[in-house]
Amino acid sequence: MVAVSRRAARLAARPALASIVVGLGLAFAAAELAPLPGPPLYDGVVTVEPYRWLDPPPGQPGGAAGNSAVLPVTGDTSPLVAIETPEDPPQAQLFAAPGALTLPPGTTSLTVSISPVEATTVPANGHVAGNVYRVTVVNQEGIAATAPASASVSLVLRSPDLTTTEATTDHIKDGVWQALKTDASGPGPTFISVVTEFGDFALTLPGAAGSPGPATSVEPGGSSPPGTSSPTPSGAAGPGADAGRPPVTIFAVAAIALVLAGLLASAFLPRRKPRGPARRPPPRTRR
Amino acid sequence: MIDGRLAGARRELGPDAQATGRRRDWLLAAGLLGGLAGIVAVRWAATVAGAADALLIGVAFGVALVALGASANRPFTTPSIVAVPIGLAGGAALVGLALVARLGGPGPSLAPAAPFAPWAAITILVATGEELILRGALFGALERAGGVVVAVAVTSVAFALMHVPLYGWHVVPLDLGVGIFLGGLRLAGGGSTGPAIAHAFADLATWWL
Repeated sequence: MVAVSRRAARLAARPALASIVVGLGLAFAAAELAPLPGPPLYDGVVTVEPYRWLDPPPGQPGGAAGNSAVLPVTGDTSPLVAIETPEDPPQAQLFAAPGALTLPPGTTSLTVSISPVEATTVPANGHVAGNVYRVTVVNQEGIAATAPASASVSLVLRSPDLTTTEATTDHIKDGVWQALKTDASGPGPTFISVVTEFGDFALTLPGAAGSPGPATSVEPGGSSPPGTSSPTPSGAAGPGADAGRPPVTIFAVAAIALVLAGLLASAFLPRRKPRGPARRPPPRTRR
Repeated sequence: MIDGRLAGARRELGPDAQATGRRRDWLLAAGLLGGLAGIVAVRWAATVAGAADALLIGVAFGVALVALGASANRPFTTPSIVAVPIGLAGGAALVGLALVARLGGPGPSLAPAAPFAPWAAITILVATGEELILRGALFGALERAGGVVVAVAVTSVAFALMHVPLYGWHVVPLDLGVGIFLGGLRLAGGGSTGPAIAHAFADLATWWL
């Protein structure tokens, strides 16, 4: 019996070991090839504050804020830059690893700031999702720092629409909107791009504001017509902004029905009893 | 262990009884996947709509997961002691994975705004609920119905997909690997205790990472 159970344990250990090795290998490969911008969280509490606007559409919160920091520079190497706006999650964030920035000669300190600003132009293709953010990194004399592409200085912007899965970060330079390579960085509708110089940036979505695109607003509110100079909520079209998407109650009813189905399946399906060789001792008989 | 005994017992049954048992297990697995999808959909809808505070939504999500997992895991079995060190070691490996992922430099702030204690309690609740369902009842049903490979594959895919609504598609490769890894812990420890400990350990560590 002991030998048999040892052999069974060895056989059972093979798929366990294989799963552990394959799983860890795949996870490490994923972390290396497509690194997440933050620590992996396999679930938990997801906090997403409503988007704060510089020019809030009707019914939506204003009060978009910026942030700035003065960082001392020692030697010729730029310091770690990690600055974000105060919302949760932040609506704009900038990250640069130590040494990532190309500093003007004689730099002794860097002033880094992110602030929401009025848009002065609109993108030719698509519409702005959220605020335009001005990102500046200048030394004590006001001379701008830059970054090589290889340094992977990252700008992360959040869309006002929680259902946004694809968006493009645009760099607005001399009135021209230049699309940057953009990837989703989650949780929530946040998008990351590598930047090599600083200035005005905004997330854009294809189509005109209010048109059915890859994203629709989740918050009721008004809209500004396309072509206006202020950012518009993506897809917002007044109180009926949720048109085209099933209301929450439908999701809730469908989900509850599914939960009940699952519970019923697990509760009412008969439990099998082990039907192996009877281990119960034979009934005692009186002599 | 119970699942192993049932699998062994089934081999001794006739073909009809085996087929009936498998059908029941497939149905149970389908019901659990449907229930899990429903809970995830409600949580997503509530979060998107801003229906309640994030902690409250987290509590409701965790309670729903634990309720479904506990009801499907009857009769309860005592976790094996060996699952505890397996879970702790697994959690340490996942923290190492998180550290490797952070080697590229700083990333966006993901620290939750909630105080640590309620955040930690909800994180443990959610991790336990997910593991009770995925590496508990669902894994057991699929292992009996289709074998170990099917159980590991389906629970890993479900684990990866259930995080897509709130975390995005980019988490799928990583979560798929972590799902397979947690499936291995289930096989090594014989129940959902090891994966639950590892899962909660890794999630709690993100507070400091």
